[in-house]
Amino acid sequence: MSNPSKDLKVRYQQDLMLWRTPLLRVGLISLLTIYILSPIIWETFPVTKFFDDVGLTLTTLNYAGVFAVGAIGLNLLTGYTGQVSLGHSVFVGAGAYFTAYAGSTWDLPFIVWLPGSLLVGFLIGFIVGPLALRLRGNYLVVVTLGLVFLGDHIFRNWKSVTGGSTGVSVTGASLKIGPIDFRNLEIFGREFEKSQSFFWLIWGFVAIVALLVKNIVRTRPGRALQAVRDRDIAAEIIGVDLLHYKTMAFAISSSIAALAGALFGVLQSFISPIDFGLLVAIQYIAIIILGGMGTIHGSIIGAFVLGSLPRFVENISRDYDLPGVSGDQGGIGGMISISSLNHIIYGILIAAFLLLEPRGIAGIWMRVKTYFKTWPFSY
Amino acid sequence: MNSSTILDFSQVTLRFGGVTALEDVSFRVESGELFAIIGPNGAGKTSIFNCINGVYKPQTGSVLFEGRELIGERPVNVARQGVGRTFQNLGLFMNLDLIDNLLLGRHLQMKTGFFSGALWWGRAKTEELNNRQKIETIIDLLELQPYRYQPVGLLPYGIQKRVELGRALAMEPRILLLDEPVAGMNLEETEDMARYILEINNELGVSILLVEHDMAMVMDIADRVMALDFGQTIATGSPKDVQNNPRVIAAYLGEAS
Amino acid sequence: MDQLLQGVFDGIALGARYSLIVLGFVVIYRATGIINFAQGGFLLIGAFLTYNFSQTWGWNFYLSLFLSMIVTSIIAVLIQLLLLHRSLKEISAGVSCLLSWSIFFYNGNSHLVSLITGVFVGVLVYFVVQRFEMRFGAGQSNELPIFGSIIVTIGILFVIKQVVPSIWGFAEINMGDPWGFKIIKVGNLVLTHAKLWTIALTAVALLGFFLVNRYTKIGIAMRAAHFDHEAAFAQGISLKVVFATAFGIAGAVAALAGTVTGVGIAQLTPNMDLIVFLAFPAMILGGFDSPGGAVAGGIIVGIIQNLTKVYQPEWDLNWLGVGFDRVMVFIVMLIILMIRPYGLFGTKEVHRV
Repeated sequence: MSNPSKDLKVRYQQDLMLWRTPLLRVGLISLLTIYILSPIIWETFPVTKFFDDVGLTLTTLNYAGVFAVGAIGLNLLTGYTGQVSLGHSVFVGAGAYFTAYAGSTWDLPFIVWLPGSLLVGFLIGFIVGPLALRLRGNYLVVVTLGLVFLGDHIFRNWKSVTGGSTGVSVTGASLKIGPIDFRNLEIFGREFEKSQSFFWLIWGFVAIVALLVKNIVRTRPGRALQAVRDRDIAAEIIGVDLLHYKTMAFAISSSIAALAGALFGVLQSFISPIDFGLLVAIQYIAIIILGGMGTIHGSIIGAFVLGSLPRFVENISRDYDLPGVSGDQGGIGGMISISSLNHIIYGILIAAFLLLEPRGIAGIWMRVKTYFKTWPFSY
Repeated sequence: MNSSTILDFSQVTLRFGGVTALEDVSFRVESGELFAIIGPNGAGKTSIFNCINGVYKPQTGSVLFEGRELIGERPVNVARQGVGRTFQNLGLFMNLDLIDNLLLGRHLQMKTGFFSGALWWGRAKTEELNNRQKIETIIDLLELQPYRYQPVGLLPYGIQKRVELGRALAMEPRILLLDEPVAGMNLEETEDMARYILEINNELGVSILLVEHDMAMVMDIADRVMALDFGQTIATGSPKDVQNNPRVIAAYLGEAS
Repeated sequence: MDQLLQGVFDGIALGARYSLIVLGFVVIYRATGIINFAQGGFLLIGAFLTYNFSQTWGWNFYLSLFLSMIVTSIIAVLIQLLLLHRSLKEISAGVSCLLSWSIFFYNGNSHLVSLITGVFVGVLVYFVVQRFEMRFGAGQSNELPIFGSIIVTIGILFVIKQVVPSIWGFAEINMGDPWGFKIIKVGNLVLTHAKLWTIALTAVALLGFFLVNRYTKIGIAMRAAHFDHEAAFAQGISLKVVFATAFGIAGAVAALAGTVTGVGIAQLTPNMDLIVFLAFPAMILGGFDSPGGAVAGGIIVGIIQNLTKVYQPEWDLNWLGVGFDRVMVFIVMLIILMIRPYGLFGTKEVHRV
């Protein structure tokens, strides 16, 4: 402690590092390894094969990745800025329909339509954002709910672009960057299936978006957003421009949502208004509640859990006779269908988490960490 | 206008519907001065701050800060001119830790936007480091070292008040508006706070406009005092004069004047 | 002119339903501060109960409606007591009670045995959680934030929406109302019995609510709770009773709203709760906390929606698509909110700095 300021200088640097401890760095490297290896070994390696058998296939993981991207966007808006939005699915839909149109009708290359969809999302968010300046709490919830109806109406009626209620195909959108084509991926003469190449594509985007948003929230703009969430008027008096930050929160969140929509479109190959309704918007909210409001990794974990839950339930009911469920192993005689069971589990999960751990899975993780840090003292 | 006047609050009248919150209130804060406003609850003290900050728009009058009109400006622009403020009921960001709260005070001194923030390497990182160093001096000044990484919502009330003072100071204001900085504090905490305020005023040369209930403290540290009752000025002058003014005594003791 | 008058009349009949739905929202919002999305679920339960009493069991329609209102109101209160009480031990007790009841019943035990087991398990869980809280929960609040409660009501809506069709099926069925296609002609106006009854029943329900709200003790308690929970509590007003009453009233008006929405040929479906979302603009227009505004907002929205529907083909606006009338309402809502952020009749929140 002879030269405290010098010590502190080192601390500042350390404070700013994302992967601060050796343990975190090991975690990062293992995540990278998993990312690269998973698609290759998924159906053969014993552990992952077990996952595959219980419904956690690569395709399921790919959908979870899409949800993760969208959820990070919503978390920026709701978790960090405190603006509750029930209209997230509309922004997702805008990105998806843009991809369908730009990819097939205009025949744009990947590196053009992708930023294009980001831009479309950004612009829509930029228009909607200022509404949030004048509206608070419940009024904003209802207005964003109105967005879902407005979006649904446009998706169903702007037939030349969206194909109306039937929907539109997204297979025309190219996924080629230079020599790499994610639709027919071939590395060193080995061909990969769509689910494999899409895993790299989608989870790559999850990583990029997570990193960029993490950087935003730990620097000046992110602090400003959180200030708006905690005390908006005080924030304005110390110099945070509410109009700018609320608008930008909506714009960036919706542009990330549009990216998720674009990925969703190419993954599912066909989109219709049903994919962007109120249920989907609530699903996104469920993801960030379950994962943890105001955390980036929480959004990813939440998407992972809720994205794989339906497949998991499907599998379980295929193999076992569940009380009161029809269409399972036991066959007829149940009260509720499997999809109903899914919805009910959803509802119970949301309620349980809000009551028991409002900070979500990320909060549980924090608790476990604190517990081991202070072990053997429980306080 | 005197060239050394930093804030000229003149003939401001503020009404809400039929209620007059401020009636023809005028005062001047000289550069480097510690000017205090006292008065019973509901006298309109906080309303004066809100008029300066641009939260309320008075019907008549003007508020000149270094010669520029503040009335009609958005709160953000008032902050940009160099007006710092603390709040009566705490305006802290309770979920953020002390460092983030102080860095938010430096929001206007920093430049990183969404784009450069997202990219992190380069400008954003350098700026974070530099400003972290700046707020470290404030942490030293206000003796907040033990609390750096705690969410301010979990800190004791007296410390929270200090954090808020620190955040206002981080704005590098030319005038600091302090709204009841020692409300609800015990004697020891009050003395600490008085010491910090004097330090900021004397060493850093920041002009201070103080609204306070605690007469003893105001009389100890203020250069000049204005007494307010029912939105009207009843006395202005040195602490001693104001203390002995019969109208002030009446307002505080509730005698019929 | 006749077309306009007819459009306005049909609009008022539509708006009456919205008014009832919004009234349910407003009552709960005023008492508890949450938007109860489960209102759509109450509406479904009420409508199908009326159907069950009058069609399946063959009782008199008006008696069925009345009973349905009472039963739905009880269900709403139970849901509030069990799930929205914002206290961990009570909620876990409620949930585990219901779960063990249903599991025992499913496994072939009689209702009585299942119920007793359920209650037993519930009480057990209550004390276990209480111990748990005392041991670990010191200093940690187990109260649900307002936003949390809203999401829980969405979860309840999910569950009800699954349970209702599992009992009554997915088919579009007839409510079995006595009004049918009977009409009254006034000049060139065609007034159907169903619409007149809808307006009349709504008027009676609203009048009843306003009398209760204005003159009874519980009404005054509810108004006091609206202004300040803590102050009301300090005055000896039981918030539990106020919350439960609010849900009871909301359940009753939801049952009425559901029934009048479901009348006609093949109008009763498990997707009928969507009308609740269309009632949101009405609530926004009226302001969240104003029962009078609820009525006005509902009627205005009903008229706007219906006139849009009538005049859309006439003014060559068909390119806006089928169902534009429903979207129009949201557009009007947005415009009004831009001018008055707290609705037409809502109270402006004062933000103290």
